[in-house]
Amino acid sequence: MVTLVTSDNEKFNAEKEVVERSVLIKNMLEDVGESDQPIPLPMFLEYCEHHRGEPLPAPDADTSQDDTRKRTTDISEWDQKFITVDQEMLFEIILAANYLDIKSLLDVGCKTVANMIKGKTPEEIRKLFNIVNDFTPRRRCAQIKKENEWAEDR
Amino acid sequence: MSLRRSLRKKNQVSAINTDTHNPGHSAGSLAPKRRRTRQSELEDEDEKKPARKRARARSVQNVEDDGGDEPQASRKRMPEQFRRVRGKLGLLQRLTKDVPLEIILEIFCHLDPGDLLHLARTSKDLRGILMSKTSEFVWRTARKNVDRLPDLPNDLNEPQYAHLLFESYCYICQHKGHCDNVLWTLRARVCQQCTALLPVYDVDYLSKQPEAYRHLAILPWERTRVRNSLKPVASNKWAKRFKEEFEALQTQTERDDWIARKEKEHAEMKKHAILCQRWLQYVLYKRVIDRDDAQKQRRDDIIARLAEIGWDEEAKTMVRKCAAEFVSHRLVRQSTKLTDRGWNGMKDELVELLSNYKIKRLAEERLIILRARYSAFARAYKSIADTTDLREPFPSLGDVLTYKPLENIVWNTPIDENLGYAQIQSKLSDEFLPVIIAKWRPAKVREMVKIMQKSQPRASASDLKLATSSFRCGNCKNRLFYSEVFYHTCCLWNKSRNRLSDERMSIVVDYHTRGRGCWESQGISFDTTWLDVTKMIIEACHLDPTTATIQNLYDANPLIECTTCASQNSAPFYTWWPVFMLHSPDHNLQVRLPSSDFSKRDVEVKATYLRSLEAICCAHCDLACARFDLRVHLAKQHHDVVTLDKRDLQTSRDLYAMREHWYFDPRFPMQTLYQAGYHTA
Repeated sequence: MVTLVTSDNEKFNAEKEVVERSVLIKNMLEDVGESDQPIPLPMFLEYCEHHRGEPLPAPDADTSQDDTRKRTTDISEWDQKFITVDQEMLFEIILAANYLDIKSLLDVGCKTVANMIKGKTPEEIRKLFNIVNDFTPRRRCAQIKKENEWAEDR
Repeated sequence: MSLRRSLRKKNQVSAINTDTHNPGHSAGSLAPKRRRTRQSELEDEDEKKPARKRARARSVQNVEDDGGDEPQASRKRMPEQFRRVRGKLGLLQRLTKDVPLEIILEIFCHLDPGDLLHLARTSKDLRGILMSKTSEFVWRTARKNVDRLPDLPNDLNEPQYAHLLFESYCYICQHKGHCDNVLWTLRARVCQQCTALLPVYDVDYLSKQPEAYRHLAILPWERTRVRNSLKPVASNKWAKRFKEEFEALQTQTERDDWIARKEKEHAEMKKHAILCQRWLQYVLYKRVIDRDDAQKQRRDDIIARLAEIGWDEEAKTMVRKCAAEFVSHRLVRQSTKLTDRGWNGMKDELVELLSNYKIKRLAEERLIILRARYSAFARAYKSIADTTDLREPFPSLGDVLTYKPLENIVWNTPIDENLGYAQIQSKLSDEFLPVIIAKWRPAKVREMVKIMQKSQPRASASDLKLATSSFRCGNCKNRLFYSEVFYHTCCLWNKSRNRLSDERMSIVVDYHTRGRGCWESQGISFDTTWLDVTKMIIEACHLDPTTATIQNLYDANPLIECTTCASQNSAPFYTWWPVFMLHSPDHNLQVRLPSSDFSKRDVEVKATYLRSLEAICCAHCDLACARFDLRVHLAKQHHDVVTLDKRDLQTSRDLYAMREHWYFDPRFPMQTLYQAGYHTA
């Protein structure tokens, strides 16, 4: 068993097999060896518990920018329920998954955000992400004109 | 499903404040250990790639130029922006500010090029990221996410290609409506109205191009619908560009190479255009399929939700019997996924819809049952009428169905109670009809006598049956004998005089529009036109006009020669007594009784032309039957009283020979059963 501590000092005991879904923790455990020292950690045990036993992605798999394989935004039902959180929590899950190097959880987080963006107009995306529109109308027109420049004088 | 709330929500404001001032330390306990932020990564890239750095610098400059504010001031406004956003929206702005670039790019890799284009138009920062050369793999990945999308053509870059593929407005009028008319070879979307503004790829257009390549396959063009016809359209811009390129070339070799290159590019462009067109067809097809699937899913979800609140059966019934109304309901036909919130918003309206449908359905089912009851009574009426001597006035179907006690049975019997046909028939024959006939028949006979008395004041009920008594319908101008009047269609188009009965019947059946209404003598008058001729015919048959009935005249079977028709046709013309009235009263008619020179059988076979097979009735049981079946009927049903000799059996069509065993069905006017006449050589 491994003791994990969240940022607000809550302690959890979990099996080593479960927490080792995080590459970061796995590396830490390998570095530290058997120890009673608690490991600080945000809440992600539920996710790891559910995905216990599933094969871990190969180290450094598809991390290069040249990886242009087709992505799907399908999320399993359980993951979908798990990730149905408010935006702040989603943001933290993504950060935590990135920090703890849990590829599958990061993937779910990215897919969720991608699904939020899909099919939305620039204005809707701005509203969703609270992005300030720093284009002037003239500039926006210029962009579009540039994109279909040839058609202007037919 | 309730949302889990972050434990660090209480630190939200301070965290954001920290973000704006120190983006590298903003994620609570995780922040110090985070690998790389987007900012740091961009800085790294800027150091490595001067071109990229220039782009970023220009971006910042643009912010200053366009907004007129300092970048710092813009960041300070962020909390205000945040407060304007309702609920939890807007918190993911931190993604664009604090999340490492690799995560942002990973998110972008799940999108399609159209979404990337939209993202690039949200802010200068995102545009900077997405339009960077280093983000090209994101666009490539995004393209791979789109099924069957052809590769990037050589003449377009990623954003231009994405624009062509996914921006659905017209490039010319910029109308925001959906424009699916893509001129792939010309790399443009042009709506149907704007295609008329494009130059037509014709002789005039080509004559303006340099002679060296005007007839070669170089200039792009595409056939599209212009107004109401298909026309090849081109682009002045392309032509101008090509011309400039061509004229800038100095040597003939360079020009030849240029032409060869352009021809090759044109061929590739054409091939690519075909692939793109196929892809677009696939997209449009898939869009329809996906929309249908989504709508079906939503419909199923709605039905499942309705089942949870006890409307399962009604919803399924409505889908089965009245699918269009349910499926096309504005709340049901949408293709968006049904959510808890959406369901709560629509629940009451759908329940109201189902409630109204239930009321309507029950009313319709009641109507069907009422119709079935009326229909059963109508069938029973017909079966009784078919075995009744109709030479005496018999009430019409409308008169029977509007009989009060019958109406009460139909309308007041509980809907779930089954009225069997046998029960209905016995009720009608034993209970209702005798009462109806007892009241109706004398009244109607009196009406007819009154009509006759207008011409013959001394006429009585017995005079109605005389061969000299014929009536005329003011509507169709047909001449009718007494018993035929009661079944004449023009007299059966009347509504019930009882308003309630009429209302009820109108709801349930169109009873008065098919000659099935109540009988009225309106329009019937006593016909005196042929009175003298008829008397002459009767007297010629050695009968007394004051006592001779129709049956007596039929038995005498007088043959009537029309000398007027004969002189017009230069051949003798004969007709028979029921149809002599079809001639003009001015014609000269002469009566000839059957004799040796006119074979009785010959006359009969040629004379009787029964249009309806069931135009006669058995004189023994009043059964309406076909004339060809009469012999069989008599042999089977009345062998005890009828003895048919061998000749009768062999010549069953010889109705005259069996005239004591049948009579004309008064529902078919006799005049219509005969030929008008025939010529003899």
